[in-house]
Amino acid sequence: MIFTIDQWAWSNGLRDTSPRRKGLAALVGLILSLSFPLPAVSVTVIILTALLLTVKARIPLRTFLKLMTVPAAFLLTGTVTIAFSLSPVDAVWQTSIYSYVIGISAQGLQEASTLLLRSLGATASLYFFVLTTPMVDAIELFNDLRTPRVLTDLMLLTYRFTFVLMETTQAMITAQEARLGYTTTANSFRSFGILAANLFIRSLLRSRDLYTALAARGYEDELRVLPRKRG
Amino acid sequence: MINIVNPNIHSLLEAEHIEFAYPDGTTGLNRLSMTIQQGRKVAIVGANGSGKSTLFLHLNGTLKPRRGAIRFQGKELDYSRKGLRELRSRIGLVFQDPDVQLFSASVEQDISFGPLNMGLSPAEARQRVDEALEVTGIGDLRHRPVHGLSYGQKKRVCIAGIYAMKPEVIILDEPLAWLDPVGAKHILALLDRLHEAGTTVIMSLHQMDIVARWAQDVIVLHKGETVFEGNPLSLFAQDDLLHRCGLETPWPHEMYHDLVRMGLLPPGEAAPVDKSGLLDMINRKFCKR
Ligand SMILES: Nc1ncnc2c1ncn2[C@@H]1O[C@H](COP(=O)(O)OP(=O)(O)OP(=O)(O)O)[C@@H](O)[C@H]1O
Ligand SMILES: [Mg+2]
Repeated sequence: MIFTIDQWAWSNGLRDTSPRRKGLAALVGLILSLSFPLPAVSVTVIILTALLLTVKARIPLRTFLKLMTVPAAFLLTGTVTIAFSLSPVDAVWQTSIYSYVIGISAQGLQEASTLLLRSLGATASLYFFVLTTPMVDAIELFNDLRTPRVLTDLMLLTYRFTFVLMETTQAMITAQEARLGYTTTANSFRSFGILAANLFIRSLLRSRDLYTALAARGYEDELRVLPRKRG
Repeated sequence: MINIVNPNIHSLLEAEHIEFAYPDGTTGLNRLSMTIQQGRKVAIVGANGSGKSTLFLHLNGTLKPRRGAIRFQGKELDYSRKGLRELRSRIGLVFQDPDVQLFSASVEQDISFGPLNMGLSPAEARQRVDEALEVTGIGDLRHRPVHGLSYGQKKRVCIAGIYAMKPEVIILDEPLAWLDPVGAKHILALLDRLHEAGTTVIMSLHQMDIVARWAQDVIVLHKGETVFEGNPLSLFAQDDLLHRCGLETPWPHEMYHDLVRMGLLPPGEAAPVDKSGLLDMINRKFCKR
């Protein structure tokens, strides 16, 4: 999922739009869906997001929908419980278990669906931002908003080294597989142990080497870089 | 800005009997001495593990020798914060492993890092970035995240990152490794341009035919020691030395000896080190006009 998002962030049609504008758009969507408990508002936000993403950013609707199903699944399980109640007055549907009557009340159902839509609207707004803004631009925006430098520097390094770590892991697994590392259960356990231990050591060494390389280019306390040139 | 302590000195970088051991006890450098002249193209060669990368880390003040001295323009290196800042803005080091050097996911941002640290204005830094992208032939990678790039492409981004700092001395640790032949030619041409502009260029490499064509001076390392300093021609005359250090002579050189052995070329002449030298000899022998 991270990879889908990252790939689109670097290759969508709105990539070079200013991160401020995209951030503002996402914020407006977020505030609208959170502050108005009206299904109409949430649905409008979701549809507008989908339109912006498909028409302006040229991201396939399928990608967006697929990404939406992930939080939707979580939200659904959370909100379903709200719809149910004991001995509902205005039951849409009910059943009795022993002496209890459990059912879905009309009001509960409405509350649950409103909540679900509001959360989905908020999620869609955030997706809009992350799908159209490369991480380096997002970090630039956070810097403009005066986020402490330590935090944004950490974000920059975390982002870059997530990929280094993934690539290293992948390369090590491929190398282990090439020498039959995962052919039997016993082999797999052993290989995995070696992998984990080595990743840890490599990460430590990496961080040391990184510092050396940064220092060679005059690093002292801040990762000063230019904003990415857009357009 | 540049204050030359002694206007008569010619050696730019000097190491005198430097010794270094890694924390685990491995000998990195063993009483190594060498001298690099201003404005030269210098090749550092040696088998794997002979100490090339370790030496480079000493030359930019990352590692400090346990004994011995390193001098830049006649002055011993100053390991204070300020001293190192000054040193590293004048001596640029391109690391062997690009993944170590590239910290930002954006190609442009990574290249802008050095210039901004040197205190250039954003506008100047931007100009340096654009120029560096252009001369290293990676303008089309501008909008790609670093994690999608091939190894050779990453190497070029690293070179661009140091090029953008315009150091007086540029040290490259195996810059040609992983590059395709055209890419390697491109980088060599770039280094030649830097050299013509007065930069001292130092690089480590394993391809001896490139050493023969490109370098003005060669330094051979063997087990953390300098075993040869001089011009490529006199190095290739010393077969046994090369052999002892696990190095080879360039192919035209070997070809010449083979042709002599087959009786096709006369013995006793100085062996050629590059293709054109060999062709000349063949020409003289067979196409007498
Ligand atoms: N971090 C380290 N810890 C311990 N020993 C090290 C470390 N780095 C290098 N060495 C050792 O120091 C010696 C010199 O290594 P160095 O990396 O300088 O060689 P090199 O000439 O650059 O080799 P290559 O051609 O493979 O890049 C080798 O014996 C090596 O094993
Ligand atoms: Mg090395």
